[in-house]
Formats: sequence, structure tokens, C-alpha cells
Amino acid sequence: MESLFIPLELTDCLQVILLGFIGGVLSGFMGSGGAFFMTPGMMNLGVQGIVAVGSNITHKFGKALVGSRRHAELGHVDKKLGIFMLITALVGIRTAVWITSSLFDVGDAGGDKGAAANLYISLVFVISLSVVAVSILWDVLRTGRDSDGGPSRRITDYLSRLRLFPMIHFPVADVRVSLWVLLIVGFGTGYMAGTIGVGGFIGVPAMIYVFGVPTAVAAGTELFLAMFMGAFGALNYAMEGFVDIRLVLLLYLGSLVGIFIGAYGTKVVKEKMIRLVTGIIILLCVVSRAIAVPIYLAQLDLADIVQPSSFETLNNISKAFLYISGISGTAVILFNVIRAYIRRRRVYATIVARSE
Amino acid sequence: MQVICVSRGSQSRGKEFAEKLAAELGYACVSREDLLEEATRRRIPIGKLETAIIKPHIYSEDLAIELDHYKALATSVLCERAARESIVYHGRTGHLLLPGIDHILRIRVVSDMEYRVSYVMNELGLSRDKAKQYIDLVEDDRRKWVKQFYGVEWDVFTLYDLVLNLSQMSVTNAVSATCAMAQLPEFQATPASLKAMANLRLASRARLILASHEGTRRRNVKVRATDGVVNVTYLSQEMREPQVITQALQDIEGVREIVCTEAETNILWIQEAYDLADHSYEAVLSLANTWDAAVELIKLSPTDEPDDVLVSGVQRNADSWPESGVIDEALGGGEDQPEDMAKVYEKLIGDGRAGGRRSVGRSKKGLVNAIDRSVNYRLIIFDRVLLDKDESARKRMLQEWANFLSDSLGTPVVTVKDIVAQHQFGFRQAARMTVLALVTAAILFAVFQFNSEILSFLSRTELKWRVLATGCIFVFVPLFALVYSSAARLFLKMLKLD
Repeated sequence: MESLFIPLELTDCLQVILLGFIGGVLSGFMGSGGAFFMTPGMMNLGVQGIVAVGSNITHKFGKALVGSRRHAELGHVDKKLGIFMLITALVGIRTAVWITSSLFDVGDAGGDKGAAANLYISLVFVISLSVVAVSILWDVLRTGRDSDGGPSRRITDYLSRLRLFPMIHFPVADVRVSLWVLLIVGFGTGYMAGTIGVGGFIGVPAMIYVFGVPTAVAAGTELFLAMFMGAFGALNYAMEGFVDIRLVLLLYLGSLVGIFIGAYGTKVVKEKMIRLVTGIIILLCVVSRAIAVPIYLAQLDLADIVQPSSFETLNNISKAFLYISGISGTAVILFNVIRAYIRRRRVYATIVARSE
Repeated sequence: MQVICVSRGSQSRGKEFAEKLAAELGYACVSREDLLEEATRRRIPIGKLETAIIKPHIYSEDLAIELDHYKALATSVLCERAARESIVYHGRTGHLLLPGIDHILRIRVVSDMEYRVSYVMNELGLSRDKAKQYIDLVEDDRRKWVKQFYGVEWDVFTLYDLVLNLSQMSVTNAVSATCAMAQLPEFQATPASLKAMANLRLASRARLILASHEGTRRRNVKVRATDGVVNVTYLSQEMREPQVITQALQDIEGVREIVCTEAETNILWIQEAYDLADHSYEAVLSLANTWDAAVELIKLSPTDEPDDVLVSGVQRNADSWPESGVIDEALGGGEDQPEDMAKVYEKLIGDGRAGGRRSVGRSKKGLVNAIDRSVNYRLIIFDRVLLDKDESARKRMLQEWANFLSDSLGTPVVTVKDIVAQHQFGFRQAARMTVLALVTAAILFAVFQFNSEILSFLSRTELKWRVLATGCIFVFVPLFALVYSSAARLFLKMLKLD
């Protein structure tokens, strides 16, 4: 089992901190996620997919704990909604852990232990985040054409007309949601969190578009939910021995600073730009992971489309895409943050003009 | 000039009442329909606004700006008319249209459902059930309109001075009773309330000019005015060249000065005395910079004005503070305009955070009435008030006032001390940050120093060791996150980047 954990040199440590920082900035900026960058980033460093997910979900536990405390102070947490979603989310996580753990042992005899789990995680990552990225970019284009900034309520309105009983009222979010819809969304959120460590990309849009929850409450409730899911995921992965505590601490070093800076960025960047940057970053991450898929297919002898000698090249290209997406996205956010910071310092904004 | 605002429900006979009241008093009658006509003339898409408020999913940023234009137009039209003659206005939000003007008589007219249903059945030829359904739908739409416009519920009757149930009395008798009530001193214009209305008029005129100016037409700006000083707050993302605001407004009659402030939100700072020498200013400014907020000042009078004060006619003592509303600078002579607040305000202008200033009499009701409910204040700072009380009474009453403000306006109310504790970075914070950073460093050192032993411990396969390892991770990870995040937050606070 000890061979699961890779040796960490100083450069590896710095790269993990950087991954954490970029993930934190993106997470603070986009309201959820960050793991979509950190999980494959660690995998590109040679960390086994399952250890990357296990460490990431453990890291998410502490991060969500800190975040939900702040949101709760602002009244952005609907605990009742969070608890309802949590019940099925835990089942979703458990299902995800069972699937990835089972797949981890496939290919053991051939010396490519973990390749099946890596392939599975990568495929789920590519398919689900492609849908999310395209939806976000479509939403941006739709906003541009119709000048309608609000999220679409078509699904919410449709489901509320269906009235699938029992309907439950959530007082903080002030919505009525069918128990069945709640259970399905909760399971999906937990499954995604357990598989790729990115439950928020399912949970937050689902709460906004399916339940009709206000955006701030959706983000706060998702963090409340993520705290429990992270705790549950951490327990499960830790029990299986898939948590590298060193990676968790190094991720924190970057992410907990990055998340504050990312959140600051949302105050100084336009709403449309936030969604555009988010969509492009996720899409580039999807491309990065898709490039690595042929390696896992070849390791499992499922498709002979790349030679083992090309693995390193493909891995490097995948790594390059990931770093380009994360670094360019973070650069855009940091540029705006620094510019706003300097501008405030110069008291640029106020002009006093006297008519006489 | 007297202003009477009648807020009416659907088929409540409010229109009939308002028109008869205006005729009886010899006042001009202005209706919501007059405002809509003017709005249509100015190409404000009223129909689209009505639909957007009923169907929120089509509500957009552009429509929010149009809503602001309409509000400015309504305020401007009423203020202009009220400056020339006494008026009776009737519409759905009559009681909320002119905030901070304390001499307005605000009336709500209601009728029982039976009368209204019969009326609709006769007028529209509907069945009883359909007529009732129709009234419910219209009322619901109006509720949404009021909520969207002013963030308050339409049926909060404490917002009215008089509620008339026309099922219980005839319109003629209601008019007679109202005419008598309109003679009460509370509803007569005073120099202070006229000044407040002039300020409101100037602000709404400025807002309308910005709405028609090429460079500012589609921009989300908020305008306030005090004694010829026009305060414009705007969003940084939207306005790259704020000079265009001054260009648009500089020719308006009565404008002495234009202050443009970049701000995402507003903070209301209420005190009896302001002092640049104490730490309050730095704390508030730091918070305003963090939130990108404009700070509006309200100075309370230093002595109590009971909420149930009986004012002896319109000839109020020129040196006293009225019981509510905005105090006229000229009322007690220019020299009475609080100098301490003026100094703080000048400093706020210099620091790019000025959001307006006013003086208000010291009564809970007066203070709440003077605050514009349509402004979205993120925080109210309420401190250094009731200074003439002894320490223990002051502490208790401060809390009572804060609770009252918070309940009435739905905005968090804090003291400067709360902000200092939350946002200022001093020696204690520096020491705390250092200790937390050292603890973080020690944990990291220990983990990497005993790297192989820890990994070996985490990798053991026996159940009891697995449970122990899991328990250790479960406790250790959130603790580390809390310690390190506190250190990181303090570090960013030190850099003023929190």
C-alpha cells in the first residue's frame, strides 16, 4: 500500500501548492469547483487517480468547513435543504467510492494497477464537465443576445407545474421542491463529488436551475453540503487508505489563500466575464483530461491507438493544457484583482467638480 | 405646499376618494396614470417592467435600470408639482414615493371583498369566482410591484398615517374626515421638509438627466442630493470615464457641487457626533474600501424628540430639531449645520467614499422615516448616540435602537467596535497571525520530517489501525484548515485584500 504514495521532492511540493492556489482562486471566483483542476493536476504529477481524488475530497472537507462558517454568518445556508440533499448525496458518494475502488484492482496482473480507475475517472470527468462547460458558454451567449442576465427558470417552472408529491418547502431559499427531484439531484451531487471531487458543479447549477434557489443561497448551501460530503468522502477514502495527508496539507497552503483572492475577484470582474472565463477554463481542463484517455485505454489493452513510448508526450501535452487553462484563468482574475487594488489605493474613483 | 398620497387597491374606490378629496381641498389631483403617460413619453418601457415583475425570469439588469428611471421620473414629477401647488396623488405606491418627507399625509384606502367582487362582476361581466380570482391576481401583482420597487410589503399598515375602509363609511364622509386630519400640524410643510423635498427633486432631476445622457443612459447609478451637492455612486465595471457624469450634470440649476463615487454598495453611518481624531473613521473607511461601498452620513440631534411629540403648529422653533425627517441647513442658520459631520464628509469625498449626508431629529420613528427604503444598504453603523445618557442606560438603549432599526429596515446594524474587531488589523491581529503561522509551520515541519512514519501509519491494513488512521485524518485535517485559514485571512487583511 505504501507504494501508492509518490515521493515528494521540493519541486513536487511547490507544484502541489501552485495547484492548490490556482484551484483556490478558481473556486473562490466561480463559487464552486477547483477540484477539476487539482485532481488531474495531481494525476499529472504521477499521483494515482484514486489517491488524487481521496486527497482532494479530504482537502475539500476542511475547505468547505471554513467556507460554510462564513456563509452561515451571512444567512446564505438553507440547512433544511442541505440535510435533505445530504441523505442521498452520501449514498452517491458511497456508490462512487465502491465503483472506483473496484476498478482500482482491475489490471493489477498486468502491472498497470489503477489504469481502469484512472480511465473511469477521466471519462466521467470529460463527459460531465463538457456538458457543464457548454451549458455555461451557451448561457453567456444567450445573455449576450437577449440581454437577459438572470438564470433560466424553464426547468424550475416545468417541475413546479408537474407537482411530484410530496413537495417540501425550504424557508431560507423560499422554494418548494419535490422530494423525488431532491433525491435525484442529491445522489448526482454525491456521485460526482465521490468520483471526480467536483460535486459543486452539479449541486449549485441544480439548485439554481432546477430548484429555483437564489444564487447566494445555492453557493452557501452547497458548501454546507460539501462539508458533510467531504467528511464522508474523507472517511471512506481514508478507511481504504487512499488519502495522502501531505498532499492535503500542501493543497491547503495554496487553496486557502487563493480562495480569498478569487472571491475578491468576483467583486471587480463583470458577471458575464466571470461565466465566460469559467466556461473556457473548464473546457480546456476537459481537453487536457481527454488527451490522457488514450494512455489508460492502451494500458488496459482496450485500444492500441498509442504506443507506450508516446505516453510521456501525451501526458506532457495533457499537463500543458491543464496548466494553460488554470494559469491563464488565474492570470485574468489576478490581473483584475491587482488592477482594482491599485486603483483603490490611488483613490482613482472620486472626482469633485465644482460648477463655479 | 401640502402633499397627500393615497395608496389604493384594486377596485377599492381609492380613485374616487382621491379625486373628491382633491376637489374638496382645492388641490391638484395627480394619478399613477399621469406618471405612466409621462413615462411612456420618455420611452420607459412600463409594460415590460410590469411583466418582468410578475414574471421574474425575464427580469434583467437593463430592466432594473429602467425601473430606477421610472422611480426617478415619478419622484421628479411629484416634487415638481408639489413645489408649485398642493397635490393629492393616488396610485399603488403613493405612500413610498417620496421617502424622507415627513409632512406627507399617507393614506391607504381599502374596501371589503364583497363590494369589489360585485364591482368587477358588473364592470367586466365575470362570474363570481372569476371576479374573485381576477381581484386576487391583480392584488398579487401589485404586491410584487411594491416589493420589487421598495423591498417592503404592501400590507404593512404602519407605513400609512391613515387607513380608510370604504366599506364602513361613505366616500363623502371619508373625504370630510380626511380634510380635518389634513389640517393637523404634522401634515403641514415646514422649512425642513420643503428643503428635503427640494433635495429629492434635485436628485431625481439629476437621475433623469443621466438616464437621457448618451454616456450614462444604460448605467446603474444612484443619485442623492443635499443642499446643492449631488452625490452619484456608480459601479466600477460600468463606468470607465466617470468624468462624463459631471459633464452631464454640471448645467442643472441649483447644483453647487458634484461628487462621483465608485461603489458597489452603501453603508449608512449614524452618529450624534463625528470625530476625525478617533479610530472610527479609519475603521469605517477600511470597511468601505473592502466592500467598495459609498458611506452615507446621518447625524442625530443630541436631544430626544419623542415619537408622539405634539408640535404646536407649523411655526416650529427655528433652533430646534424637528421630530423626524431631514433637518434644514437654513432652519437653524447655516452655522448650525453640524461642523463635525461636514469635516468627516469632506474627508470621505477625498477618500472616494462619500455617499451623502443628512441631519435627523433623535426619535426612532423619525430616523426610520428619514431613511430611503429603496436604497439597498448593506450595513448600518450605529454608534456614538444617546451621549447625554449615563453609560449603562446608553448601552441598553443603543441595543434597543439597533434592534428597532434592524427590524424596521431589514439591514444588519453594528457598532464601530464591531467593525474594528472584524476588519482592523492591529497589534493583536499581528500577534495572532504570527502564532497561527508558526503553528502551521510546525505542523508542516512535523508531517514532512516524519513523512515515512506517517505514511506507513496511514497505510496499515489491520482494521483497528485503519480506524485509528481515519480518525486522526478526520480530526487533524479540519483543525489544520481552521488554523491555516485564520492565518491566511489575517495576512490578506493586513494587505487590505480581504
